[in-house]
Amino acid sequence: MNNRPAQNIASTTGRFLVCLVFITALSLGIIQRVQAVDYPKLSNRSLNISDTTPGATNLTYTIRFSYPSPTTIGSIRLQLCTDGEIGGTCTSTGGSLAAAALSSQTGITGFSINSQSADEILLTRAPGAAGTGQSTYEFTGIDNPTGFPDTFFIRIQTYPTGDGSGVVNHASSVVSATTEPIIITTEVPPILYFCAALTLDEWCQNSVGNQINYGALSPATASASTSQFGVATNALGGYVVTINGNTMTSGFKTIDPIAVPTINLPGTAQFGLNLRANTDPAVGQDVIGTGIGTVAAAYDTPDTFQYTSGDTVATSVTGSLFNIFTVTYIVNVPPDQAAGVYSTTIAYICTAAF
Amino acid sequence: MSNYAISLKRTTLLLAALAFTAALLVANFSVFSVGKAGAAQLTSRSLSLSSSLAGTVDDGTAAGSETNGDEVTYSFTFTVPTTGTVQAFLIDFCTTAIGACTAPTNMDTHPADSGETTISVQEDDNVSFTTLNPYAVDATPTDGNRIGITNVTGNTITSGSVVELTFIGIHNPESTGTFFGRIKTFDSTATYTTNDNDLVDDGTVASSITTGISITSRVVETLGFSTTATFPLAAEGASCDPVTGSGAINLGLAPEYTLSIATTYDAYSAFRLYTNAANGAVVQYEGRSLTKGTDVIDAIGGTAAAPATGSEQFGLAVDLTADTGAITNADTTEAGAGQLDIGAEYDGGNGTIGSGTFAYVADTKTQMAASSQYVTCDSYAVQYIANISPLTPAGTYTTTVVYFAVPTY
Repeated sequence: MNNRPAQNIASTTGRFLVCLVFITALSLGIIQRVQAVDYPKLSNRSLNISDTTPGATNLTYTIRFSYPSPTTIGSIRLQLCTDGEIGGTCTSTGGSLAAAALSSQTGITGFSINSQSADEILLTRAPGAAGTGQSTYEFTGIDNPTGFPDTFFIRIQTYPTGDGSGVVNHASSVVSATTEPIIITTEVPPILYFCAALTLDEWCQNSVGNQINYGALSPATASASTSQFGVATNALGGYVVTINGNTMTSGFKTIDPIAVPTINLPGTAQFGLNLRANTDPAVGQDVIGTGIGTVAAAYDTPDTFQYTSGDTVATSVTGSLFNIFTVTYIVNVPPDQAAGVYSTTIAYICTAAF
Repeated sequence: MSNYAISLKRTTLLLAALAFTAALLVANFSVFSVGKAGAAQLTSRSLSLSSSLAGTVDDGTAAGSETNGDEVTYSFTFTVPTTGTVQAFLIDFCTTAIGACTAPTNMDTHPADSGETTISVQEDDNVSFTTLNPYAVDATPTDGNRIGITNVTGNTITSGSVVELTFIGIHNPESTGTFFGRIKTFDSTATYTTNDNDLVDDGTVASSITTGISITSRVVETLGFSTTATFPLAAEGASCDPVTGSGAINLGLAPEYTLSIATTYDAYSAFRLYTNAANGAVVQYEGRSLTKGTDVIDAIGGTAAAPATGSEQFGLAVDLTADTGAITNADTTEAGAGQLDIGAEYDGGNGTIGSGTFAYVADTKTQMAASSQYVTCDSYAVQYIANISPLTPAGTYTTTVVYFAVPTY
């Protein structure tokens, strides 16, 4: 016999009932079973696409995977979907497999396309053994999904049968993404380096002097001196440098310019120039620099000189790095050359054809 | 009827009455002798199981885990209402709270029967058994659906003390449903396994064996890959939000964005990647060099080089110094856990252009970064530089650089 107070027994019974109700409710409540379908997965699987631009067409997709263990394979179903949930509804990505062609295959081979649509390709072959080596399937003619930036999936399901029927023996997804293409635009400006001075250095960084003073001319000896000009340009059509200006003049009196290439002839009226290293007189320098500029033929013979305003003295057939041209001027006068102060200004004009 | 007969009848009735009274007394004596008049109910009692799965469920996890029903830890907690000596605790597991005890199906408290190593008794904060006379498992009753622990000297437990008894390695009942633990305390070990003569207090607790809830969820392959040339970048956020905006870049001296033979100009784009690919991912780029018709500014090639003004160059590199100014929310570290490892030829970008190195392989899909495992969320600023020579034909040059992320699952 038990001496518990009645209310105590009632209280205990009540607690038991509450506990029982709770446990029963819990048992009923936990009937629901949450489970997702899962399949043996393919190993080392990836998707490589030839262009990630959204909506790009006629692309190459390369799918790689391997089987985790030897198996029998007769068909492979590929689905292009917005998600990789095997067994779920395949929502179209906007891309298309409809025109895809199986362009190459390695590993487990012998497949051909059995059927295809925008979202699905079924590859088939005679069912056969498949080892665990890496397989690669390359498709051409695929159109990318249209969204971006956007992830898309190709679901892969393999079957032992040749027609994609029966129980799936492997199922996995591979994934890729379309992205915003980076478009870089820039401008290469027309470039022309051109300078003229008595002396200068590369890229016209330093140019010094612009006046030549021969002093008193002598019919017995040529007066000679030099100046330089430098040219570089990215003009595809190259450049042309011309000489422009009168012969040496004193009022109405002139020293005859040399009309055709002629050697130095002291005692005759001569004003001319060339762009070569000379020995008579021993003045001048051949063109220097890494450019491809050349001297015009009329001014390219050592010890011969000419001057015709407007003549081309240097050219480049296309863009050229920097060249320094040295111009040798000679002045000769006859004994009866009218007295006076003779001068001229020679302007060098460079025209680049961009 | 004779007087004798009447007398006999009365005697018989008297004897019958006496016999009934005697039987009643004997019966009452027997009832009273089952328990002590002072026995009270243990209060605030509970039973906690480490696993509520059936004893047949053993998923190989450690004893005491929530998914191992074969080796389960039972923890009893209750408050003692009566001050007195306790030499023994006896717990019977039954399918009902009261009445005859039916053992739960194949329940086994005995260590030897189910491979358990021990059954232990632990103290609690209120009753420090280790400082008193320790109780030990009594092997005789401890089997099947019963556990007994004893100490022949016993301990005085005062009213209100909380006792916690923990037993490990119990094989749960093998059928689902509620079962009960009937707890009794005794002031003597003499007959505690056979009757309640020495009962001090008692109480019952309940628990239940349930079917485990099998929840299976599949984490699908994930990839987030986005590119942009629009800055500042959006913050990565908890879900590694994609970078968005135009991918158009003007490279050169503003406002005409012209290049120069004397100055190197740069511009930036960015990419952001996350993936759960177990075998990692690679990031590749592909595109021409800067091109105008048939005129192409030379790409630097696959070997990183410093900018060289006056020579044609087009190159790119990740700028790990770039999380400043307009280039915000870009990562400045690489190759850590869950991060891409930027290729050695492509990690030389620098906000100070002349201090950087760059590379670019034109017209070939080229890897510039990789990871061997998952990538949590990487955002990298890609710096582009261009130089021209005096021979570079004038005009508008463009190129489109496409980025790829190829995860391998």
